[in-house]
Amino acid sequence: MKKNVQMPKLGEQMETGVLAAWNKEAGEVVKKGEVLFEIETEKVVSEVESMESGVLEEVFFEAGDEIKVDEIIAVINCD
Amino acid sequence: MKVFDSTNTDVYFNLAMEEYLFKNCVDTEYLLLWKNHNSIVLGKHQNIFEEINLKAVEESGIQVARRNTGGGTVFHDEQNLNYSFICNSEGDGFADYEQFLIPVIKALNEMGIPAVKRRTSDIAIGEQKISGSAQTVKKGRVLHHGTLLYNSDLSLLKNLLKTTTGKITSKSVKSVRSDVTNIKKHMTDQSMTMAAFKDTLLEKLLPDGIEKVRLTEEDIQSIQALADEKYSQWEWNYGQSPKFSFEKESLVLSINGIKMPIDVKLEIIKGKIAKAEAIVDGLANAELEETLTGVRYGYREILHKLDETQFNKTAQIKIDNLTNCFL
Repeated sequence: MKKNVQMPKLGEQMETGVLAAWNKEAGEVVKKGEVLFEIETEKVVSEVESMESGVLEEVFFEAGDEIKVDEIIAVINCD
Repeated sequence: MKVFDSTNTDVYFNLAMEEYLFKNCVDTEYLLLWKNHNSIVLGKHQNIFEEINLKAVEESGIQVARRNTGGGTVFHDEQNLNYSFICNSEGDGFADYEQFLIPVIKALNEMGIPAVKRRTSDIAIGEQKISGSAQTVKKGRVLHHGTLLYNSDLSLLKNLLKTTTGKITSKSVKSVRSDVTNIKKHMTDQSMTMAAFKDTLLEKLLPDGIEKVRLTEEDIQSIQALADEKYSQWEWNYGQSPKFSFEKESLVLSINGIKMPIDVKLEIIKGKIAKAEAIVDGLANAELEETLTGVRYGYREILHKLDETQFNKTAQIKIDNLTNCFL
């Protein structure tokens, strides 16, 4: 089964977030709870952990991109 | 809240100490106080190559370190006091600055320093910044740290910051230059030492009592290992930079007076030159391109590689001038 990874909303005021770094690359195996990517907003680094275990199949944004909350940024294949 | 007052002034040790206490001692909340010997400290997602003058930094021997929190580049010396709050928040995982900045500002005010909050994460006196801060958040645990410029010698920094006529393109987090001032200049008691400032600040921050802790021998060993394996390594400080491209057009003069245009285009990934294009006098120079591909992007590394080329032996260009075409 494929699961979408979305830009999380980390604060009430947050409308967009900068995907500051990927901790995994497309094609890599990801375990639930591992840090998948990092967001940086107002000098705050937030580590975002994967909610799924599987293979990071597709990545739609690169480090440095500003992304709207809830937008799909990657797909994890959980099969 | 437990207080740890670090006597170690090694920037790599202190950054490792923060990470260790943040990640390993998750039930304990801390206030850390620490000072670093002269060093440049970058935000986690910054491109070091966009921030520092590689040649000047390499020649000065000053330490450069990437921290675990966001934001821009700052200079530390032993007259700059760093404080870190490591706390467990009950919120949605997104920390705010006020809960940490307000107590610090109040403590400074009680010491007679007219400090005010400025922008989201700064403390200022008038229009001049005395403190910057940044955070990292992981599963509700927050690391908030900040600088307090007590009596720093900021003139040391001037020639170490990036200056290039080349063009760097990246999506990295940029530094915002601010007009700064030292706290000591604004104190009524001009004789107060850094040590006295630190102790007074601590008393004002924790008026109900201070519980000082010491690190165990085991803690120190683990922290030193993290400093050695991560924070002092090129891979972390330089290699973690976001990818970028560099373009520069130079006109260099050979020793026998011939002007030679050298146009350079580089792609730098994980701190290394992944792709190099060098056009000398209108012609692509395959030798230079091959020599530099895969090399760590840095003054000494590039100079050393260029020095060995046939091109360098025949072109009669001063090696320093040739190297500068790539930086």
